[in-house]
Amino acid sequence: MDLIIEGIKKAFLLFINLDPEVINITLFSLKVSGIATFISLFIGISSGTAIALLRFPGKKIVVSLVNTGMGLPPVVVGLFVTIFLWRNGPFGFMEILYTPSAMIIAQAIIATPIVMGITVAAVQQLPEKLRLQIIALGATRSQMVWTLVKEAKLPLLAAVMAGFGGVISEVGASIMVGGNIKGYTRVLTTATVMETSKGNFDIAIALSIILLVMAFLVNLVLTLVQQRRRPN
Amino acid sequence: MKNQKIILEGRNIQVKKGRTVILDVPEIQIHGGEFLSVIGSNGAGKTTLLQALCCLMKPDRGEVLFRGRKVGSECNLIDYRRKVTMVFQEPLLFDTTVFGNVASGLKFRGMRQSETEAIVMENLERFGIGHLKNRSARTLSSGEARKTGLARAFALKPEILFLDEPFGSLDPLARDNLFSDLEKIIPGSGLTVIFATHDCEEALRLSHRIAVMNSGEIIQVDEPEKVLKRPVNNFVASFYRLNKS
Repeated sequence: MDLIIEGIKKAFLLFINLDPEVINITLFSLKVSGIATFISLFIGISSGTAIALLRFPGKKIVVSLVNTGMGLPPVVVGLFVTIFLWRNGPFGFMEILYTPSAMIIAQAIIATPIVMGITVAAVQQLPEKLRLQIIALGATRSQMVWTLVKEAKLPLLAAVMAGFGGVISEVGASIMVGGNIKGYTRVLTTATVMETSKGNFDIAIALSIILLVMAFLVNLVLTLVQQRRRPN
Repeated sequence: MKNQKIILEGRNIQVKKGRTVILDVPEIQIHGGEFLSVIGSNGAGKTTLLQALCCLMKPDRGEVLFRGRKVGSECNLIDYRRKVTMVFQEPLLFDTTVFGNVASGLKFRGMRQSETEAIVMENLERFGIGHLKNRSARTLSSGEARKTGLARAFALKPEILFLDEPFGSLDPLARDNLFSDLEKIIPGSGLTVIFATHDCEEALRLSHRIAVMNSGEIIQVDEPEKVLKRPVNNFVASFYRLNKS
């Protein structure tokens, strides 16, 4: 118990003193996970909407695969991204392994199926006749799709929260493709793992509290937006 | 109405659900300015017929002709859809204000905000809901939502208006009020209306002709008086007797 109290005190002090390393790690974590979430939103919402609206053979299998992908283990993603970006790998020529770019790619791969799966469910739960109503009002195909996405905005905000939550908290892929290099690829989760392995539990607790607070604040903002738009 | 040119025609339209034929209409012609009511019980194929004629679905067979030109080949599909519109049984409003809903079809047509405003307000006032323009569509009563849906359709100034049981699930008084609004607007407007309902008395109020449907087929299309006095078979005769509201 003393250890936890000590950790909370340490977290408070690290923030009060604006510890440059902690601030940098926090901002870097936000940057990497923010960009990865943004990429996953772009890919996940567009492909999820397409899957929801199109009729094609094997659609149920594709949806099942997407839903399976929602629980994609970060270490598996980390392993395959490492193999692909390894010096002799297919994308080794890019020389981005152990860089923030590799971390963004890995995190985007983790978040995309989460966003895609929630998008499929969100668009499919809209009334079938809503699509016909939009067409009957003279919308082109792209206008129809955009209107449907706007109508599904409440569950799509949940997709943003789930996607961001999934990547800000993952450690396996980030440590494998980023390497936890101080001042370059170190994020809150990888720093927490390192401090724990060194026995610096107070710093590890402090870092995890910062991680929790940050995740809470981002989700609080998104939840406030979501609940403000919720129908009465 | 027979003096008017044919504005819309359906030929050999067949729609299947699995292996079951749910709509089979060899021919239907609608004249410009006509009010055609399509009556039939639930599952008779009224909605499917309207959706096929509005080109919201692709029939398994057959074609729709608008002013004599085949929709989809001789007449561009989007162009056709922008000359007609449909009001469904459910209001199907968007998650925005009443104003935003009524303006939505105009925005799809790329109309500027300045032009949109006057048209939207004119149609909101027409249905007596101008005071609701800034209200969220989610907070409307059923009657207000139906009026918003109708205002949204009329704002587009369509040549053909498809009404698919737009007063369904409303209480009799609200139905009567809405129908009275339509009675003020439609006659003399030159608008062609295809109105699906299972209420025969409602169908008689504005119709130039009535089409009676059963099991996906049109049994009789005639002027209301002829349908009442000279039904082609027992089904048509009994349908009116049983479906007076």
